[in-house]
Amino acid sequence: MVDDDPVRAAILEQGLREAGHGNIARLTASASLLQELAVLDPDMIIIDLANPSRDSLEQMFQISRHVPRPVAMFVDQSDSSMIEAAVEAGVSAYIVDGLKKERIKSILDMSISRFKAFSRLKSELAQARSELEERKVIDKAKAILMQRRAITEPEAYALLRRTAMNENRRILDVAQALVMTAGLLK
Amino acid sequence: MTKGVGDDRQSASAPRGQSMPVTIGFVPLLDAALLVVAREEGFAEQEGIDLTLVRENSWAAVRDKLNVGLFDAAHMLAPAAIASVLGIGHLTVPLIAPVALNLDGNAITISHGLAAQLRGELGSGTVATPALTAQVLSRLIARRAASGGPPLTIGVVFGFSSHLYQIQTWLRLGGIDPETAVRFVVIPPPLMVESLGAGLVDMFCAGAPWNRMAEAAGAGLVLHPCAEIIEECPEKLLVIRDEQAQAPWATGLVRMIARAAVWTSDEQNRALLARHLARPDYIGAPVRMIEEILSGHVATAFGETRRPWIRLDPDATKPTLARVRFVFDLMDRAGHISGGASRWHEASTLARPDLYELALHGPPSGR
Repeated sequence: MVDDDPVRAAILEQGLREAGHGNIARLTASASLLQELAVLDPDMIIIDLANPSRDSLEQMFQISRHVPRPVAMFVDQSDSSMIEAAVEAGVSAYIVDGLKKERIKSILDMSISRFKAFSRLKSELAQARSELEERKVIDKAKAILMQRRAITEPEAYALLRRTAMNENRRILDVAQALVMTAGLLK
Repeated sequence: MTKGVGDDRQSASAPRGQSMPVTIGFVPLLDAALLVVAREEGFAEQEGIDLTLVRENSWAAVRDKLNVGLFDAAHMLAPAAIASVLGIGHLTVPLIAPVALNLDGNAITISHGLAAQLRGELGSGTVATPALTAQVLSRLIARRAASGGPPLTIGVVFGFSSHLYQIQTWLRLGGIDPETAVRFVVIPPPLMVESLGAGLVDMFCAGAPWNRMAEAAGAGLVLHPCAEIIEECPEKLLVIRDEQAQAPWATGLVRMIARAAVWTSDEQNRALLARHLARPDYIGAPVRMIEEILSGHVATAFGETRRPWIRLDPDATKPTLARVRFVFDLMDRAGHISGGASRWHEASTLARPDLYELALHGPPSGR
């Protein structure tokens, strides 16, 4: 596996081990990547589609002086749906001639699903972070109102809500404007 | 001047008032310029095309996303497109090029160490032609081999690339056998600068602006623009999948590039073009550097040349059979065409001058 994202690499490695594909090495894109691969002599290379090292890797296969066995790249041409699914998930694979088709399929399926799960996780995390940030801004706005107007927290929230409804804006936008203005007036 | 390029005729095939989304993948290089101009100067919009440009880090990623339809079209190395058509090194994908994006644009950059050695051998006052520098390099290589030193290492940007063929052609001018006397490695352009600086390669061949970027980083000096070695070398094509030849936007793509080339050829637009290209979402290089490269005045390690570094003019956008043949022959000479010259007929399907003519002049009967 060549992946510069250690978390995604760990998620995929675990999946592959559980599925019984035990002999896995994790590499990152570095100047010595090609030498490391030549020493490992893998049956299959799974690499992040966007990894800038892919052009170097492909040339190594073309020249193939470094690699003892011929390398058939990507998956069997007949399986175009598999290729599409892999590219969409951001998975690229290179396969050494002779590896059984069922094994290739099982490894690729696992890679695709783990890559997808990882990007889902990442976007969920990003969303959770932004939700947390939003809550913080609203809390700050409430605190400003409570202090300036000597009102309770529920009253402050009700005021924000009412203002948002009247101005046809989101509570977050009103809160943000309030926090910014308060900052300027400090 | 090509007829129809400059006029404001709306694309005949574009549905009125409705824009067609088209996504094109590109690699950050100066020869993606016409795509950027088409988008930024409204030539895509004039054709009813809602153009999205997606920047990629590798040619492999551009190719794969085009193959499965995530991209409608792609900025592609002419030899890589031929390799796809012939299924060399990867899957067979019938690609067609209804328009080209440029001629020339590459240069050879050498490390400061190698530059010092060459300078010592050349003596002062000599015009450092490619033939002369290659002969001098040949002596240096022989000395290096005699003293048991490691072979000269040369970086190129892709296995199937004009960069490799241009360097090979130059080496042969000095009687150097590119197969045995040197070592080639493939490194993506953005990493080339570091590799030269760190001494992982002694020289590299890449497209603009990466040669000047290497100079700016203090990693080396530009020795020859490749136009000094092979004149008018076809470089990047705009390719689409064969099945898309009749897509409603296909002829619009050709017209937007042809118009962008007319705009780009106007010297008055150079400063604005440089500013567009300098943006981090396109190339991310200094505006002045890009302007200098576009100016056609190239200062090199041992002199200067007034040959244009890169050709982005309307003539450079013609996807002629002769140009594709030229690239095919370069690949064949390098031993990259399994099956040899007999495969020209297959490879020739890449060039679609007929679509280019159709887009610019309409069907033959209407001319």
